[in-house]
Amino acid sequence: MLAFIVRRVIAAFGILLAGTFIAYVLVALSGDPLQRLREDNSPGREERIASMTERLDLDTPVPLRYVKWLGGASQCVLPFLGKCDLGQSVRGQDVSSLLGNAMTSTLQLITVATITAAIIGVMVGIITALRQYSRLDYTATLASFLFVSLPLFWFAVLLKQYIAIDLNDWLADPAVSLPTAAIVGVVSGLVWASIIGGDRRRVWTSFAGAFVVSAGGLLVLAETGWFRSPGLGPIVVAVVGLAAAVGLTALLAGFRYRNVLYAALATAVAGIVANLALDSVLFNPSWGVLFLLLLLAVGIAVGIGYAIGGMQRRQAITTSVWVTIVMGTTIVADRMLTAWDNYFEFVDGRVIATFGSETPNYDGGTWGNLLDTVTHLALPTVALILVSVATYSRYTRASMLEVMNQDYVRTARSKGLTDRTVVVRHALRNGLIPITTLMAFDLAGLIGGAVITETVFGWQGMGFMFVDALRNVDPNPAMAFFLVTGIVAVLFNMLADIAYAYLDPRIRLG
Amino acid sequence: MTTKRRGAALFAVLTAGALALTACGSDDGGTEEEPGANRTEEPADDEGTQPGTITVAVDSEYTAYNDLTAAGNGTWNEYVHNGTKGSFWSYGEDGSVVRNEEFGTYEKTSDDPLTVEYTYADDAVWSDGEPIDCDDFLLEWAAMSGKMVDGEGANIFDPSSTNGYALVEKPECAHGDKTITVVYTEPYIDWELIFEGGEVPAHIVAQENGLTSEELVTAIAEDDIATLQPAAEFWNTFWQFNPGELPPPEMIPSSGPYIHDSWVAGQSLTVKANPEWWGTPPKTETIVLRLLDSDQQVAALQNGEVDLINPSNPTPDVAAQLDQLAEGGPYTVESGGNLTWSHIDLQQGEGRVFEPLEVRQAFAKCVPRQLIVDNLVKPANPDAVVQDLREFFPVDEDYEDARAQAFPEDMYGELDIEGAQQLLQQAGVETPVKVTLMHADDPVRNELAALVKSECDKAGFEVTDFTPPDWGERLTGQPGSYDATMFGWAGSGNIASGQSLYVSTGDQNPYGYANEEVDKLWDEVVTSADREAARVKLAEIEALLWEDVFNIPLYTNANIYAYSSEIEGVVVNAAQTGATFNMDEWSRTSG
Repeated sequence: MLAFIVRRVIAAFGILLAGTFIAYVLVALSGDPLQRLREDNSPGREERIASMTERLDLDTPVPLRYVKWLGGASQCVLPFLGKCDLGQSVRGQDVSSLLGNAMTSTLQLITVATITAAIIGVMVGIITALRQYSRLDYTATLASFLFVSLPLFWFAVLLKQYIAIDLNDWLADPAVSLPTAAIVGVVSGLVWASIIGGDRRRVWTSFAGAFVVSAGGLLVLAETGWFRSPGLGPIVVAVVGLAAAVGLTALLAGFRYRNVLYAALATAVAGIVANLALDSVLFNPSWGVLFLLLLLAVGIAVGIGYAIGGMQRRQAITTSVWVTIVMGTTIVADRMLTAWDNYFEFVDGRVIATFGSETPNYDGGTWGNLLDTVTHLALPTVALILVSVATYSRYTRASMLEVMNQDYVRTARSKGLTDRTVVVRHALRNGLIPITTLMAFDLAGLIGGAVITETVFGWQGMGFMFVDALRNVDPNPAMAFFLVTGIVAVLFNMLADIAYAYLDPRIRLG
Repeated sequence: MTTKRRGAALFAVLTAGALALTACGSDDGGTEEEPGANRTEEPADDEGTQPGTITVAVDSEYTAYNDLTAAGNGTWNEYVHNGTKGSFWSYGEDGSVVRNEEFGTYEKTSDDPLTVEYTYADDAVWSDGEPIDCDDFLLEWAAMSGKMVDGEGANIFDPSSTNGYALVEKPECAHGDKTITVVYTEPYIDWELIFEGGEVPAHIVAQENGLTSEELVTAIAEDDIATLQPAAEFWNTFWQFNPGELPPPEMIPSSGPYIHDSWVAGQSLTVKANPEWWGTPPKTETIVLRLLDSDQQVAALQNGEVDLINPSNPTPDVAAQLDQLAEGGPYTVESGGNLTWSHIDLQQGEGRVFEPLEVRQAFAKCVPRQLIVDNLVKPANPDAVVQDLREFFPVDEDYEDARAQAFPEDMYGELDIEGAQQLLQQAGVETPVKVTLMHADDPVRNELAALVKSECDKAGFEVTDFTPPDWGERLTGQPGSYDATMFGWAGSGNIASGQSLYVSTGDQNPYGYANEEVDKLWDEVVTSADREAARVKLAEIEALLWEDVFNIPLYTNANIYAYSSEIEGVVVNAAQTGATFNMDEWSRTSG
């Protein structure tokens, strides 16, 4: 393994060297950084041209300039060598500082998007694999091909129009008409009916149930003014917690042994009580406190699982931890929505933002600021995850289908294991191996910046920095982008290979 | 209830650690004020400043407090400094010079030698309370004149331009004087546009380098380069910022109606009313400049995230979207001209295609200028007209008079293919005349070149597109590689800067154009001290340039403003200073 890593690292250096050289020459030849100045007819043009020529070292031939640049850049990559120097932008800013900012905002954007996309994508993939050739499967297939082939810039414009502008207009006077409720009800009914499946009677029952719950719920919420001032409250938190306990037990352990269920329920109850007991702490906690609370909650969940789990200790612990995560998320959402009214007033009712990452000069405490971040992240995240969800679900479906048809799965079934055990315990782990590789590559691509998404939503990340640099013929930021994407691509490739070997014993590195 | 309580108590034991955290987590336990509740601004002291915020979209981020340096000199800094820096003068909405009497006054006291007396307002102070006086003025001169040189003759300051300042003899200043007199070694037409007066605080430069203001003034007066060197280094670099890193307020005092408040990298920059501002109070307490790409500004305006947009280089698409917006909602869309003008320049030196006058005339006749404006400019600016002059813009008051005097309407007023054919015959050149037309590879320029080709090819030319990436460098670097070139000049209200475009030895005249009369008139223009008289001479120059068909002016770029109809006081501004040039006059009428 070690020999493999060393060899790969050495190769990576060669690749990076060649790659950055080619990129540097291409960027240097792509245009003239002085162009804007050449068209400028105001006084002092000559001085400014001279000054920029000196700052960007334009008089040095390109290959030599590359060597100089490499000298500064290598200090950013290899630690302890000295001061990191990526040169200056045409506007005289340190590129290393620009890069720092861009990477922070890109990471902020992609973390949420990648996690959400992975969870949803894998789930959709598993469900469609288990319900192969059902209506749901066909619908999901159609949808994923649609999302994959959708031009992102156009989709982004639609998002801005419908999810931002129109939704905000609607929030000013949130009324739900009967036909709207009916349409939402029918759509929801169709979705649930095809997910649940079964014979005709069951399909109709699930359709009717989903219709009544969705359409009715919508009307009730609108009537009670919930959309005007949305919130969850302790009761919803409690219901979600208990439902998560039962649902996750069913999914991860089954009800044959009650210990797991008891552990999950105990965790849920603990969470409900904590939510009430810590009311004053949760009023406006700092992020550090929240993080410690989360750690503590996970610790307690592990403890409960350990204490009550008995023979099913491992399953009990896993289930309890997942219940904690679901509850934690719900509680955070609940608290975040307490800031809604205040935020709504500050932004003058324009809750969902079309660009940027925060409302200027808004400080609404932890929850208000979180809400602010969420409303700014909403559109770019949706745009990013739709494509990823589509790919993930297709890959998961294909690999699950392959695994499900293998002999060992048939053996597992034939020895009388339940469907749940076969899928969750035996098939899933092997089915997810290819997804690991895919996600490693995907993450590498995303860290390089989602160029279109960032540009369209005014998100000042890596992708935007690159596009902006190209547009202004600004060589150094463009090279910083290449440097980071190059390193990330090489690194993640290696990680994917190592992860593969770890997950799949048949593969040996060496 | 009791069971619940008990449960809570039980859980409290389990979470003892968490509760302990409560103590260190919440700052002061007792006050449970709603987060963000105290955000409403306190009423401003000055009558006339209304609490509230107006948000404007800008397309480039702020980089420098000192915009007199070569690196800091850019419109993106101007957007902010329009509010935070006072000046003796500013560009008006049509690019003309507007005196700023509240800041200070200036008077030309003599024509020979050109002498100007500047007087700061008595109560003019930086926002830290330090008076704005001749110390600041003298430092501006020292930094910009190029006369503070070290042993090797290199300027210790790094100014964006020494233009004009270099002609000024060292002014005399006793620390704290409010009046200062400058004497020019030779007359200079743009003398009004030289000294700004409130750009860089001398007392900060002094203090940060361990000097008193008196010592700094003395050092400049005595050319004490050793003392000045660190100060110059500070002047050159300290006020150049990385994104979001605004120094403490005392390091960036304001001399205008607003002060810097906060800056979030990549997001926004906020300025607030300057409590020390002595002039007419700004109408709105807070102005936020939000960074946003031009293409995305319409949606942001529609979503109420910004109140005012001025997208640069608006495409017809943007214009159409905005029109739609204005029809359907409470938005105002205004368009006007600006000072960036496109033109076709012709290589007319010896042996070049355009050497014979008739060929140039023929080309001027066949370029479909009206069609270009109709197809490419009007969609974005319905009021656009063909630009017939070079140094006068359609927004200028005297444009029509100058045009009547200088533009041969009957020759080039309309597209005239037949006339062009005849002229080519007269010239006796072999047709088709091959013309390599160099321009940038962007959609508008490509469409424009296609229009030129379709018409001029009919007249006997054969126009070939040439779009090298380094076209800007080729302009003067390889004048042999093209016959004609099309690009834009970003004009300013400055008169003298036009000289180098047209005179026979001009840096920006690689076209082999030479006309002694033009050279002579330009010399007179630049060394005159009277703008009115200079404009008359400029009109004469324009006539000569048309006579020689030096080049073919096409149009000025469109300039669109769109804003929420609640906002009052927005004025379309042709100069390069941007939409924020009168931010202190913006106000919100309701809500």
